[in-house]
Amino acid sequence: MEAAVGCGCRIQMADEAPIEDTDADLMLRFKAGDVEAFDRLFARHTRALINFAYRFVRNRGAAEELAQEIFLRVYEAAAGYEVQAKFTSWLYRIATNVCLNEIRKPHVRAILSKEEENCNVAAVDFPKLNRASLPPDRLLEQQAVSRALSRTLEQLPEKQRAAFILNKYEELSYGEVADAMKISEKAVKSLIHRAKETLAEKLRPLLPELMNL
Amino acid sequence: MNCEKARELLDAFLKGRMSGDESRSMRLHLASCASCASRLGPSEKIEMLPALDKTIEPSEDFAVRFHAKLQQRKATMSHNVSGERRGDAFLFGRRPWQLAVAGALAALIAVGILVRKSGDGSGLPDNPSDLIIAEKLSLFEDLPVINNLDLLENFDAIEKMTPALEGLTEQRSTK
Repeated sequence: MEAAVGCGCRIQMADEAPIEDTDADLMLRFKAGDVEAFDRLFARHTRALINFAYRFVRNRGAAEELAQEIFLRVYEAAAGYEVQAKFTSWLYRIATNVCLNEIRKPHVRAILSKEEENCNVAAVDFPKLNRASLPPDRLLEQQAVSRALSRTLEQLPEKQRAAFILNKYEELSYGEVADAMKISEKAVKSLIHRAKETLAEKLRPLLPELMNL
Repeated sequence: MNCEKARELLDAFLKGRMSGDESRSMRLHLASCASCASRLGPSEKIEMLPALDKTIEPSEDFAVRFHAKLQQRKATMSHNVSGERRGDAFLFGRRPWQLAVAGALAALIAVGILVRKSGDGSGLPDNPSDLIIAEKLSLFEDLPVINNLDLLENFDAIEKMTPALEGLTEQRSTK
C-alpha cells in the first residue's frame, strides 16, 4: 500500500504488498521519461534514506534535507544511469557521498557536536522493538545504549562509519558496500572489522546491560 | 523469527552469509531475546546494536517539500541553460557579414587607441633611439661643445667664421 502525499510522490507503508518491478526497472523507466516510476522509487526508499542520513547527522531535519538532496541527485543522474551493479549499490553510493560531504563541512561538525551535548534521551524512539514489554528501568538502559552507540559511531573515522552503517544498518552485503564506496571487498571487511573492534572497546561497559535487555 | 530458527542461523548470520532481510530479522530477535543474545561473544554483541538504535519516520510533508525543491532545482537548471544559450546566440546567432563588420570595427578602434597612445603628449620621444640618447646625455656633459650649444644657434657668427676657417684649411693642405 502506498500513501499519496499530494504531489505525485507517495510514501511506502510498512504493510505494503510485494513489489513486482525491480528498482533497476523503475530507474530505466524513469530514464525513458516515466515520472511515475521515479515516484515509486521515491516511495520505496524514502524511509531508508532518511534513516541512513540520520546515522550521520543525528538530526531529523538535517537527515530529511540530506535525503531530499540524495533524491535530487538520483533525479539528475537518471540520464546517465546504466544497469551495471545492484541498484541499491548505486543509490547508496550517491547517498554516502552526500552524507560524507555534509559531515565534512566545518559548520555541520560544530552543530553536530553541540546537538550531541543537548541530546534528549527521552526523545529516543524504538519502533522496531516492543517498548511495552520493557519495564521503565530497562527502557532507560536501552535508550542509554542507543545514545552511547550514536556517540561512538560519530567518533569512528568516516570510512569505517560509512562501511559499518551500510553493512549493519542498511544490510548491504560486503560486495554491495564495496560497490557503494568504490573500494575493494577486502577493504570493506577490514573497515568493518576495525569499526566493530572500536565499538566493542568503547561500549564494553554497556555490553553487559545489552545482555539483559 | 523464533529462537529455534535464530539459533540455527546464528553462525551464518555472524559470518555475513544471510540476506539483508534475514539479517535484519535476526538483529531484531537478538535485541529482544536475552536468551539468544547470551550466545553471542563479547565482540559479536556489536551485531545487535543497530537494532537498538533509534529509527525515524518521514515527516508528513516530506514528499511535498521534496517536490517543491525539485521544481526549484529544475527552474535553476533551465535558467542556467538558457543563460548559456543566450551567450552562444550572441556569437553564433549572427550572419557572417555582421561578424565581419564587427571585426573590422574592433580592429579600427584598436588602431585608433595605438595611434593615440604613441602621441599622447607625455613629453617622451617618439623614436626609441632618441630615448636612449636622452638617457645617456649626462655622459657627454664634459665636452665643450655640449657646454656651448647656444653658440651653435648663432648663425651670423658662424657665417663670419667660415672664410677664416677655409683659409686655415688651405694653409694646412699646402704644408
